[in-house]
Amino acid sequence: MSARLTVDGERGQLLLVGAVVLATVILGLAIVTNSVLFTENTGSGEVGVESAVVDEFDYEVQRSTQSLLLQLNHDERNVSWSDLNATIRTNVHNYSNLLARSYATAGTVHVDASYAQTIHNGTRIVQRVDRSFTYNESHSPLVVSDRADWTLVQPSDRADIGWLALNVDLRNTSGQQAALVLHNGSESLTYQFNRSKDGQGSNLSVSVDSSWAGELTQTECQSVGGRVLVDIREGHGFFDDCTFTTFDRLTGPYDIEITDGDELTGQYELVVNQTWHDNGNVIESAVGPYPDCSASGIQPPCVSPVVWTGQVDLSYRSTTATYAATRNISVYGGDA
Amino acid sequence: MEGSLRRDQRGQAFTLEGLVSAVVVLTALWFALQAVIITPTTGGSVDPGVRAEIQQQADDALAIAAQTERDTLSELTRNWSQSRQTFYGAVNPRIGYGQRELPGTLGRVLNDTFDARGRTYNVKMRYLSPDPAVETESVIIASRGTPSESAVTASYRVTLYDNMTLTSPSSGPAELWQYDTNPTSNPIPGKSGYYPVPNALDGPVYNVVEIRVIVW
Repeated sequence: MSARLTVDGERGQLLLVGAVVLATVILGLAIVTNSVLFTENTGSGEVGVESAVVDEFDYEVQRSTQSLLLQLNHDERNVSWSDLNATIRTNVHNYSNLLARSYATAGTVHVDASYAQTIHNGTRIVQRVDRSFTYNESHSPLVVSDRADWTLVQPSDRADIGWLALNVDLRNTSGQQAALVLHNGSESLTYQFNRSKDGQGSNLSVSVDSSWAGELTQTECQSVGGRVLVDIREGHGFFDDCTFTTFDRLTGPYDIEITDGDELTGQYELVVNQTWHDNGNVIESAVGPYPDCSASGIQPPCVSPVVWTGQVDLSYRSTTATYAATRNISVYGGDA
Repeated sequence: MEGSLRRDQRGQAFTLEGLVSAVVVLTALWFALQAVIITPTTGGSVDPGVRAEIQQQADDALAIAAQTERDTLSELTRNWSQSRQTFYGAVNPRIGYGQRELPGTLGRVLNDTFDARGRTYNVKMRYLSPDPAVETESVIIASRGTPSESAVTASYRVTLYDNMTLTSPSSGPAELWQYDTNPTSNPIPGKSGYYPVPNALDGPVYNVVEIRVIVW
């Protein structure tokens, strides 16, 4: 009787203990489940949003720096290499400050972009006054010794071309063709220009011939105010929709020759990736012989320095993200 | 006799223990079922996963419009009508384009992404003052209502340059730096008309404008 009484007592207590354990398990599951669901809802979505902002910052700073360098390259021509570098650093710094203000107004974000260095410089060959597309060996307007047939970029200095634009004075351009010939050592591309309608028209006639396929393009570009602006590199006019073959059809590097340059009048700018050497007080150009544009009393064309590839340091800092990168900026496209 | 009496008492004890056990278990179950997670969806608002998706879509729409080759975001910021003092083709300066589709790539992408799915949005352009002490100012591109609490915001910054021009059909060849930023009827001599974004910097850079899209 005593043993049976003891077993019965234990069974009752076991029921109670089991119920308490089961209740504890149920409460524990409820707490864990709530915690998991709460954590999922607070989630990592904010990190995904910030990565998009950082990507935008990186992309736009590169693009804006490229545009800025391009404009500064083609702004003043009477500049030294050190002057150009100083101008670039100042402008990139000012742009960075403006960008930082814009990001700061949107939240606790600090951004910065600074110009680190020039990886590769180039040379700008420029004629910024209206004259014929001829070459004066004396580089002096006082000595008339212009050659109508001459070499703009020597075969020994073949280079990649980043910019080639003409601003033609149509009224002083004849109906006879002048030619700009690009060679790469095996093939050539010839751009021929003349005033339309045998020199009486109001358009610039542009034809492009290749050494491998003959005539590729024949078009006319309209003038505005007596002037025609054409971009040879991109193959189009600036003021209208005239298009023609770009020189990318010919693989570089190139040397450039001008024939019958006395038939064509206007201004031009050419940028090549030949390095500009600033050797103390002496400016040496691998493209030449042309005088330095900062010299006075010279007959164009002359040369001035440009940045071909620059380098910029970027940084982005917020309460949840930190990003830093160094980017090479190819000002005229192509590989940086 | 005595043993029988004890068995009766034990039976009452067993009954009590069973009742208590049941009460304990039922109380725990009731508590667990009544526990509520306070999340953004508790009040019936947008699921966080959906918000993240909308955020990504808005970011992508701006990126596409900014990086395309034609009808870009930059062109939209300069699509200004001086005579109407709002964007070209907009309803009025207070609501901008309102319910109309925005021009350019951004308008097409927003229409395909959000209008087609029954979502609505506001678009605003913010720009900097030349004076760093002055807060940014803004112009309405499109206002379609008051955003809900679950609205998401995406933005993209575009750099404007001095030598850019306005892109509206009614604009002339004047460059941005030539425009007056005050909407007066008598422009300052040397300035040719009104464009609200000022020249914030010396040098080729004109301003950095931020395009904000708020979707709900």
